[in-house]
Amino acid sequence: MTKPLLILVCIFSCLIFSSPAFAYLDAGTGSMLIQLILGGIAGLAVFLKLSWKWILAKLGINKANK
Amino acid sequence: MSEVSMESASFRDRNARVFYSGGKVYRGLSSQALSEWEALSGTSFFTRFSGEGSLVQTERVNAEELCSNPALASEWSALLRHETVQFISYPYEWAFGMLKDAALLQLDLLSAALDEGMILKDSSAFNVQWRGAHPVFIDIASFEKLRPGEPWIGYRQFCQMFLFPLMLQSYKDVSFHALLRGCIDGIEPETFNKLLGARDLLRPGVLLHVFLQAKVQTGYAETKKDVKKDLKAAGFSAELIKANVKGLKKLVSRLTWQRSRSEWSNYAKEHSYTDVDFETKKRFVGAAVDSRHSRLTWDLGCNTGTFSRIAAKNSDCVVAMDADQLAIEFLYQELKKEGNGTIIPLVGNIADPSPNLGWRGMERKALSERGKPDLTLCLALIHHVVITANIPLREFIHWLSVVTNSLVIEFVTKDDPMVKKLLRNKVDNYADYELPFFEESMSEFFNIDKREELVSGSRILFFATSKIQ
Repeated sequence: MTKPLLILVCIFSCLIFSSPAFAYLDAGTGSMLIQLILGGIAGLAVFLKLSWKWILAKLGINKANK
Repeated sequence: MSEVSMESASFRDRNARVFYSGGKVYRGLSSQALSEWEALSGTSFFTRFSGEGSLVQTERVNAEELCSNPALASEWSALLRHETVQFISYPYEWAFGMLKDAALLQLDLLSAALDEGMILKDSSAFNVQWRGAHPVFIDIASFEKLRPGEPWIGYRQFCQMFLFPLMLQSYKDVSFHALLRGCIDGIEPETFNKLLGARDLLRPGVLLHVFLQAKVQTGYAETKKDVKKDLKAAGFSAELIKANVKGLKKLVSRLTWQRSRSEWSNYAKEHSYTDVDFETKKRFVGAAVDSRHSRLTWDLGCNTGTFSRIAAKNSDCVVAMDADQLAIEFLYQELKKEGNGTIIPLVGNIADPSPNLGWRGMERKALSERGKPDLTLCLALIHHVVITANIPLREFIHWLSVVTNSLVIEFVTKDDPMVKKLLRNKVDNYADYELPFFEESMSEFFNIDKREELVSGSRILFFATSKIQ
């Protein structure tokens, strides 16, 4: 049950966050992030935590500054 | 210490570098690399894998040896000495099963390292070499202490150099050799994703390792975020890497190459020799092999390896090459079962041998620059070189005289059924492919020690020594 859910979450997030980029490719940011999904259940918690942090940052809410 | 020559492929890691001196292999270590070596040599997996022969035999050399060369003493904090690998080969020369076993060794080492607080900082397939049919991991400096919260940096490289090439051959029946030879860093996720169709998303590992990795990589290509730092802050742990490695082991173990019938693989059964001719040929090769010890032997066009095995009786290392990767796959699987430590089976077309590649064209060396063989077997091959590949006969004989010290070669005349088959739908423009011209060319570049005609009359064997020594 958890694996299909993880995949869906990741595809969804991928669609939300990504935009085509044809410029200089970095050393493997995507390959680092994908390891959250490949890390199984433990990865899901880290993934949600990271996504939450980035969503807050996108909305201009930076916890660290408060 | 005698004169030092640097290994031209060993430059990427600023903390360790391989060099040669007095016929031995050394690795200089920076103070940081020394600290990693001290941690590694204290682990149980290092002892275990070294004992099994899966890690290159390594020992720290005392300071006096280092101090005898002042330039080195000032550059490095410590020195390691490694066992010498008899013949360096590259992933684009390996059979499918060899790349798969090299991948599994890499994952086994990584898994064991993680259990003891260490990690492999890269996943280059060039870090694996072969002792016969046994894979050996040679880059000791790749091991480092695990830094808590950091992802597996070598994951992308593992995909590019092992997983994607194996998937390509397993799922699409497309050989990985040309791609790995063309791209020294392997197949990028973005490229591989484009090679796969929508139906392939259902195949094991494709959705996550290929599609998603490619998409996320493209999506975050221009990110200004410090992803490594954010991952650490969000609680990334070694458990995630372990889960990934476990999944990869399962995935790679299940990848198989659906073998198809090839022109060559049934050759051993279909060849046109009589049993008498075959026995004569084995005896002739056996006598040539017995006449002098060979450090390195090439068997060009080795097919199922019958003659490689004869050569192995008096050779330190036999490189068995054939353009037919199915033949090499079968040979590898047999040698692996036997635990053969002398014969290295490689995929290679002698009409298009591996070239110099990489930085300065010196990082990966051409076939002929990886040690001169004392003996080369070239049996039932010349008609393919001259008639199929259109290489002038005299040029081929000259090339052989340059690359090898001695040679056993079989000339197959135009009366032979195999040559007739090759010429069936071709215009016979091969005036040079005649026995008198062959013998003339041989005499020009070789001293002929022995000549024997097989009973069938269409095949003649020669044992010769190159005039270029």
